[in-house]
Amino acid sequence: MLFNISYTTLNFLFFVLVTMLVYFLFPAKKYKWTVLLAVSVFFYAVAGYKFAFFILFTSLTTYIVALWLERVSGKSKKLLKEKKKEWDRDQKKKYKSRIKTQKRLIMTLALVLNFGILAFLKYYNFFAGSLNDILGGFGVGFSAPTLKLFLPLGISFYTFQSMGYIVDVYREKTAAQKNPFKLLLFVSFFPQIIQGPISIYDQLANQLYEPHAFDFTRMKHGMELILWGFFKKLIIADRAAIIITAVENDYANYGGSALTFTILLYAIQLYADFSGGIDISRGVAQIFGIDLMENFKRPYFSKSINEYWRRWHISLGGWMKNYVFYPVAMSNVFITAGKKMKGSRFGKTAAGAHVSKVLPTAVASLIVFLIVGVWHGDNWKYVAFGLWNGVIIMLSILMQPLFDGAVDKLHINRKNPFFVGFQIFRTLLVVLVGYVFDVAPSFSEGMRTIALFFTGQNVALGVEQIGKIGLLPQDYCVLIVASLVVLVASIIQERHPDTDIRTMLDQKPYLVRLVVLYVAVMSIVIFGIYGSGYNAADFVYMQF
Amino acid sequence: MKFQDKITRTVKVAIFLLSVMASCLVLQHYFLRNVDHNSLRVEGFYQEPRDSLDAVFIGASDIYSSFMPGRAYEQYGFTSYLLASEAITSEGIKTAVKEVVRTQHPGIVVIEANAFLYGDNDNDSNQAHIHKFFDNLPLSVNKLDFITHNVPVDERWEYVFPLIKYHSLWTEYPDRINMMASNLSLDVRGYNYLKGYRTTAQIIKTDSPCLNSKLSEENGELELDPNLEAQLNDLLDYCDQHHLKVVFVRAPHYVTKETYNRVKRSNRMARLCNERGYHYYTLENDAEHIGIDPKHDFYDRDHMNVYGALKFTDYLAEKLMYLEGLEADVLKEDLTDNWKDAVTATNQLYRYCDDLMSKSKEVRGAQEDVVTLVTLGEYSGATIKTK
Repeated sequence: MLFNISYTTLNFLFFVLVTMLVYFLFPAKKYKWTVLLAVSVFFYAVAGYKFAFFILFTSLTTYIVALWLERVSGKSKKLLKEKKKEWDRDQKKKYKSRIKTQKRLIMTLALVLNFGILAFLKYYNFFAGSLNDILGGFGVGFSAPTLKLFLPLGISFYTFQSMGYIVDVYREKTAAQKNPFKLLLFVSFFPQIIQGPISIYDQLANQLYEPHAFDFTRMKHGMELILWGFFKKLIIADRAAIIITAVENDYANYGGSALTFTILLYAIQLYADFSGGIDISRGVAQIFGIDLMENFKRPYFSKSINEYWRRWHISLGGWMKNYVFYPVAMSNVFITAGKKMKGSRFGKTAAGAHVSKVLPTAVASLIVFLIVGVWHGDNWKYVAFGLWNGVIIMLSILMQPLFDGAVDKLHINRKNPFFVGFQIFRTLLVVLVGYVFDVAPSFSEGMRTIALFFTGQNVALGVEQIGKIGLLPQDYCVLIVASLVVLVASIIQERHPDTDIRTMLDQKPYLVRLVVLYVAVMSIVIFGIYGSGYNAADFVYMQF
Repeated sequence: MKFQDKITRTVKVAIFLLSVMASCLVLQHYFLRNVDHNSLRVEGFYQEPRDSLDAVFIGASDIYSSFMPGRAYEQYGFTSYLLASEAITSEGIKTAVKEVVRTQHPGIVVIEANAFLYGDNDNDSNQAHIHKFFDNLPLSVNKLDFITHNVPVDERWEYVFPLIKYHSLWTEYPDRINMMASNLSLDVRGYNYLKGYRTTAQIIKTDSPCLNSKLSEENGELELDPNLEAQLNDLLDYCDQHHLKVVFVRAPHYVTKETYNRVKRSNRMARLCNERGYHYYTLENDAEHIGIDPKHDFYDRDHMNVYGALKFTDYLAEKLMYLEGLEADVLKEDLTDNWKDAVTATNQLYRYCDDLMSKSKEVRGAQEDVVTLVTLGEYSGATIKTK
């Protein structure tokens, strides 16, 4: 890194300010997008110039393959038009099938190349280590070498985004981009390169290429969103990270109560960190007239784990749904299996009818979450994390009629606040168990932690252990107050889903707005964790 | 949008931005600032009216605990200030000289040699020592020059806006109230009573034999650290270019076997300075001649207490007047009271320390802070007579 340009530095704010000036004063409206491209390339080069090759390779292969796919589609359509009268139905069907196979091969080539790089860099050492463990267990002398690999900045995010675009071109949902530089901008747009959101080409690309004039309200809202992101990241997430990092570094020596507290704190930290970072990304993009998709919708208010994953990391969930879940659930294998079950004796029963209907969905969900787990990292604990979520979702789909029946039999009003509260609490517990595998250094430590939840609670010891970490009482006060602010804001947003707090704030008198924004800025200035006295934490999702 | 609405919007935005900026500046200067004696000393220097000082002393604790500007004014009539900071680096010395050139045109600049006498270059990269001086300098071309050439890119903002580094000091209140109030009172008053002088009320306690009696005959030399020698040459080049009247001085120390090499490096530095046409007073070697009693006049091995400082001040002031031709400019009328206060405060501080030491009480940091200044009111400010 030439110099630190991460989102929470003054360098970054200065960089955004200069970009704003250049973008809005750029005389050639038609080519305003080149400013965004130039600054995105600069940003990536500064943040990780050593890895530029990888993003360029992905952009180039994506560009070529998309054009290739479009060319094959175009040619086949032209030929079909020409041979419309000459060919009979079978010939046309055969030709279409051949073209489909050809296109699938081309698409697969891009997917294998790009996901191959990602998988190699991210998982090679994990597989080599696992293989060595297995072979060692059988007494085989072979040992796969481990390599010193690095992960290019944002590789998961830009690979997923690019490959989504390839699939969309393959499906002919979108036209291939003819201008390689425009495609490079789509892949490397600087506000989202570090941790997403993973955008869909149709939603983002045109916004990037359109010339946007300066709009005061957009700029104001963008800056307010950035401010909110800083509030969550610098005041809450980075303060909580001090404890979490200390526990992670000496995990085995902490007791059940300390670990319980850490997991609870991790839930707060992860949300504040990730959603804070996304708010900064979206805020910066909004200043330039670009709306990035929302990535969070108050996930901890979810009433089921299914709903939680629709509210948490929405762009990844959307990507998985479009490009993994549907292709798997709608595949011949799954549909045939469902039909077979429906025709069986079990399928004739009430439960069997339900199971055979939802089985493809349930199994596809399990596969999706297994991939989500593996995406999080090269460790068995992440596999466990994915499986835990996948199994819970699969069971909830399969057993839905059972739950519904129980609720009906108990005459529970589904809108009763206590029942809703119970559902939220239940979901949160499931989420927290999943987080154990995030925080614990290994799968076995994760299992030990879960056991300690039930058998190792010692509050006095926990207070002593956490107290030794060195976070001051004043810091805990700040953490609590700031978390409450986020909670209140989330409740307001939850009650008014059609609007946002910024728009609501606009309707208040100037003095109120002035005070609110002033307090927000000064809170960050005074209570934020930043500067060289601290080892400011990177965004948690940056590592993915 | 109407023109009037645009104006209204601009004014509203400006009010917001100005409120935030003003608040940050107030926080940075008073509430979330690492105020210590270095801050008060450096800030006091910039409060001195332009071109009002006859002499400026630059260096580390070796000089701010040794020379009493109040005493020098009272006895010899010249005004002076200690632009000094704890363990100041060689870069700090150079920047201080540049700041003196920018803000004052004194008859003489006296540089205490300590920053160049370290056995290695470690002090020059000690971030704490760098911050102690540079954080307190107002933003100027000289400060920016230092930042550009010496501070890693990622840390530069912290030197421009120290609030970035010190914003978390709110956790240290109420312990910091004394220094915050001292900073505030200095700003309200507009001048530093002690002109940068600071001491510790203590008489040295050590079993290590003192070698000061041998120093007058010590002519041995030891090479300076190459980086520090280069910095010295750089400094001398700057002084040449600006035709500055600069003298170097080495203040007396309680020299032991462990610190003996510094004496030899001081001799070497003296020769280097002399070769370039600059006077260097090796007063460390002359400690006995000055009348510094090793058992009585130091508070630790590196610093003299008020007894030693009084003798040293008189001795050095005479050297500067009679050997270097330092002349006291006629003081502007409105500054007379300011300097009378300095004399009174210095004499009160001497008596305060004397009182404590005679009762075997120890006070670290007898300095320009509110608590100390209030205590000084109990003591007489009359002239101290040398025994």
